[in-house]
Amino acid sequence: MRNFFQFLIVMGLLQILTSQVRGQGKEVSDEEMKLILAAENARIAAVDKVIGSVVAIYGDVRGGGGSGVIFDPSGLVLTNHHVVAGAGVSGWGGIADGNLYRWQLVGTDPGGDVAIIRLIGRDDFPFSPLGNSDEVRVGDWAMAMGNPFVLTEDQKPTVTLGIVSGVERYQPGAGGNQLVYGNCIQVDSSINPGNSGGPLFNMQGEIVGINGRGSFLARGRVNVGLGYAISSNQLKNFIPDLMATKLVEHGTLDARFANRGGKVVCEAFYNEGVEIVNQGLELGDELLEFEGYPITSNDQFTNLISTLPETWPAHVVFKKADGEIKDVNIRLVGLPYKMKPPRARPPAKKGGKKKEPTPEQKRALEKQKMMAKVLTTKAGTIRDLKMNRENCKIVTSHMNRSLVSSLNAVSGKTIVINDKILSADQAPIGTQVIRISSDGRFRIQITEEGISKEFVFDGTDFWKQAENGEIQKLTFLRARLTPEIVQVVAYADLLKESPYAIFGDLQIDGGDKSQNSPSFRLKTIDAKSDWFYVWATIFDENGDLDIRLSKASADLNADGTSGGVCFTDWNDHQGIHFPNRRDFIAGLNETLIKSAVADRVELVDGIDADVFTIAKTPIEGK
Amino acid sequence: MRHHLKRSIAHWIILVALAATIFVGDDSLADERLNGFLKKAVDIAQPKTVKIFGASVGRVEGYGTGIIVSNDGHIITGNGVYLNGYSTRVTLNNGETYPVKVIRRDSNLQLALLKIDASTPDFFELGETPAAEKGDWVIAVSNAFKVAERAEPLSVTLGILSLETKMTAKRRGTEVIYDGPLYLIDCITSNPGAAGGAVVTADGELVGMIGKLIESKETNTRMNYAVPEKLLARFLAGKPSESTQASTSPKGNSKPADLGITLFSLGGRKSPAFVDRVRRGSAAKKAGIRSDDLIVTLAGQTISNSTDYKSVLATLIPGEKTVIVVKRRNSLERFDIVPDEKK
Repeated sequence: MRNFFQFLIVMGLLQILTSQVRGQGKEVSDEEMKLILAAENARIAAVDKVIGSVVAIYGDVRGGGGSGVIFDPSGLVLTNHHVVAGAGVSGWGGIADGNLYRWQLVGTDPGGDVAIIRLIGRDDFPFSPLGNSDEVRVGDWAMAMGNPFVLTEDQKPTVTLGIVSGVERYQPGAGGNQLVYGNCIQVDSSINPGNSGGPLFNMQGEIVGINGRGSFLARGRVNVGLGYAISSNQLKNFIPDLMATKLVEHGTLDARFANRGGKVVCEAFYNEGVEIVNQGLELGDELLEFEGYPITSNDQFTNLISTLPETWPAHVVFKKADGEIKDVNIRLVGLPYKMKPPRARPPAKKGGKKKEPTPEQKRALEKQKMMAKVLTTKAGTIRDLKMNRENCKIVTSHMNRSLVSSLNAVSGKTIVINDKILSADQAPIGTQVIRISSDGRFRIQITEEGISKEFVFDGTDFWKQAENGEIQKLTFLRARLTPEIVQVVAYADLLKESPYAIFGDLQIDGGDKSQNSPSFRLKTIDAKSDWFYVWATIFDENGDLDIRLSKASADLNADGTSGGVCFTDWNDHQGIHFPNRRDFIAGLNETLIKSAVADRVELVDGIDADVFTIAKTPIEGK
Repeated sequence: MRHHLKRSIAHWIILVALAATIFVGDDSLADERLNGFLKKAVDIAQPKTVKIFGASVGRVEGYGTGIIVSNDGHIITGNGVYLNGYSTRVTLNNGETYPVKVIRRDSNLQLALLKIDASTPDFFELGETPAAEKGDWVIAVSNAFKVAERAEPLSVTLGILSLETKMTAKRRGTEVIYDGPLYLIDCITSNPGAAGGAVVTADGELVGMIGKLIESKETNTRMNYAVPEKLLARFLAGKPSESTQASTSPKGNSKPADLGITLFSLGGRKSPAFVDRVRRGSAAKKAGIRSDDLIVTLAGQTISNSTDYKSVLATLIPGEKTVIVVKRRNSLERFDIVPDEKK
């Protein structure tokens, strides 16, 4: 039987590689055999590369289980909401090395069936990168991994290979805005109960989805050849909110659209005072574009918006009845979960006699109560500030690592940046010299449109010196509202042990978009409840995890008087990475006001204390 | 085979290093090998395969799949209930939707020929030469579970053509009268709405069409199979299907069995299998069954009610001796019985 199976595989592979050769009755040539085995080995190599990152997830109470995948060496694991809803707020996770680790719930998204848990006990967990699910094509190989039927004894995952059967699929939810699979990937890789939450890999070993459901309709709960995976690009949009320990809601425009004569038009509003109405949308207006995608059908729009979280700054283009085209940026509002609070159920009474629950049953009841608490917290709020701060440390350590190849490379040195300042239409309007010490002090000398000024941070206070020599100490609030300072402090403070601590306690505020990319939004809060925001993109253009400073502003939408600064064009200068271009922007759409562009970035030995002190006479600019 | 495997193992060891260079060294090649090979078939098959929507009847789904077989709108699909309504529509790959006329049906092969008023330049040219043989990759394109509507592309699943076979085992509890040749495939196609879908080679050539659901009532399993292209070609040409001839021939064994027993009808499907009447000259009469006997087992299977009796009866083969056990007063009686052909 096994021989027969191998025979089938060999014949099949032969068919791929030499599509003209009919296998039956023909000897396999050495050349063909080489290709067959090469294909097989490539597949085995792809499995080997990622199998260590797959997690078998169990609750504390016996029975059931699911799967997950580690996406960060700190032990952060992506899985399904319905897995943790069953397993509870903590439990055990097994990986292919055979070990079981404790896990804790971090955050959950019932709307899109995504949750993050964190394995505890190591800081070097094997992990897999998230791929770009927009590049997944029908016919691609798709490897599903996980723990179907809670099969594994030694924690090694099961691998099932299939192909991508469809992309941009929509699977309606379970009611109450829950468990909607929008823009998901359909595969014929075997997905069975227990596979839930496990990764779908492409042949490059990138996570392109999280397997969450199958068409089990009227067929019993076993694979029927149609499985669905939440796309990795949707996961990217939700990771920050989940790491902020939120119960995440999905976003909506509060407007309903419909297909009318080849157009997608606005048909109704769900509420009064809808934000997009304030921005000019009226009934009958035609939707042209959403988040950069031209809209051709209402289904497509529903697919796209169902992958975005609440408060996501969506880019919407629509056409008014008079032909005017409006281009707006709007933060999505939350789609509330109409869920009955899950009730903790005491064990069933038998024979009318009240039985004392066993310790196991007591534990189960306790866990149900804890999960019920999680699911009834106010959506969008930070549930566990302590855990949020721990996750925030993971984020800032990634951000720090993106600045320098090694801390030694910059320690005891000064970064000197010579910038030219360009107007919004790229005309030169001035120059500036920035000096940053490796301990986060800095001095900025600006000459813009003929006027000079200087800003200094001496490690304790912010100072401003005007052209006439007048020296002024700036409050921290004032410093945050000065974009010239923001362009440096957001970078320089990252070099410190506890970044942004000068502005208050740092936490993950949630998910957002910066520079058109899913981002973390970090927030500091000081004793006076004043705040400062820093954005960090999560992935580089290849989809690899690369948490990197992207934007900073004192305003959530950068629409206040000060605007914000975007950091781009990162370059390596003798072991340090510096954003050669800093764009001063305003508003949700990041409208360019002016830019600072580096002509030269140098790393100089030593730190001259005088440079970072204001009381001395101004030093000559280079 | 053994020699073959030995050689594989040797190559295995040598090629671990080689594979690394091939698949790491040249990404574009690797991508083509790993991901590209099905795209051609998918691109060819999608525009030649259509979605069919009609009325649902009870729990039977009101949708299916079909393949385009001419440039002027001829489509072959399974003979499903969704063709019976007045509002059956076909949706092409580009999202255009047309009303359907049913031209011909074949109750044997469970096929239907449809026509829409549209020009269909992308179609499968049906021929007699098989495009694939056992062991070849095949790709099934269908609208299982109605995952696609309008212009959305159909589902694509991958499998291997396992073998071409006659359905001699299908009699066990199924009601399908067809017993001609079929292709068994190892990808799951036995899903609602999949019937009528295209089964193609890696080059996009038609191998066959996903057949109507065949389900064993006894084991609750379904067959994954395709109706071979040559049978579709004959159906399109208006020739009677092979199996029609086969089943009318004296050797045909597809007739259901009959024992000549009428059970007490007490209403409900779970009534005990008490014998009410035994027809004169019937198999049961010859065996010695009498009125008021309670059937306990038939062909080795426990009969606990009249429904059990009917499902076991459906698996019996006329002329093939089997055993029936009945309870008569206080004793169990065992009889050999030779089922007749049902007239």
